[in-house]
Amino acid sequence: MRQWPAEQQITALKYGAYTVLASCVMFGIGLLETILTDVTGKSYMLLSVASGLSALTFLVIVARWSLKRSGHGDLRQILQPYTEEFAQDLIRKASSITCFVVLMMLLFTHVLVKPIFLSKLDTSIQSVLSLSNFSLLLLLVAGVVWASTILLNLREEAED
Amino acid sequence: MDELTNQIAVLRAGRQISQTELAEAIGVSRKTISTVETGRFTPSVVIALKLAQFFEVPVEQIFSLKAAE
Repeated sequence: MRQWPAEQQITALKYGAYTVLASCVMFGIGLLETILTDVTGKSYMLLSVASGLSALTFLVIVARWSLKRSGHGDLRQILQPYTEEFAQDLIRKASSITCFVVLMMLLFTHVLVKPIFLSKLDTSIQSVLSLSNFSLLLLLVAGVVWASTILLNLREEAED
Repeated sequence: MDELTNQIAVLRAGRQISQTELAEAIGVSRKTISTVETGRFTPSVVIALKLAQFFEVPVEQIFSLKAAE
């Protein structure tokens, strides 16, 4: 297998973060729609449209990535076995921050929300805080934190 | 903690090469070079040696430790 150029690895990482962010927006809107439907019993057309638009954004990002032909690393783009040192370091950093945030969320929920607040809430609100909704929320937060960390660290700087 | 400083920008200016050209020459991304130059990323010994080899100077001439005050 030919060597994967360093610059292309950085491009793949950047587009990978964009796709994660776009999918987080898509699933985030889906979660919001589920919660609102559960609470009010109505369906929300606007949220369905927004969900469709975010799915379209996801497709545009992936298509743009493919058309640019700049990140070509074949299957490596999906599996992400980066050899570029900065990319490796950045992924480690982003994953550590993500794990920390998710752990804090779990601890906060376990120690504070569940025993103290949940019992005082209305039954309809309690049903909103279901395991599936909470799991999806955790995944969304993890995705947003990971992608934001990557993109913030990959901000373009002018070459001198 | 001691701070790592480097002379990459100076050496690059001496040779009149861009970050992209240096990155291509040693097989890393431009982002690696720019973050090393600004001190935001500490490279491995491999990259340090590649830089020293490229500039034909000892590693100590590129990287040095600045004692914390």
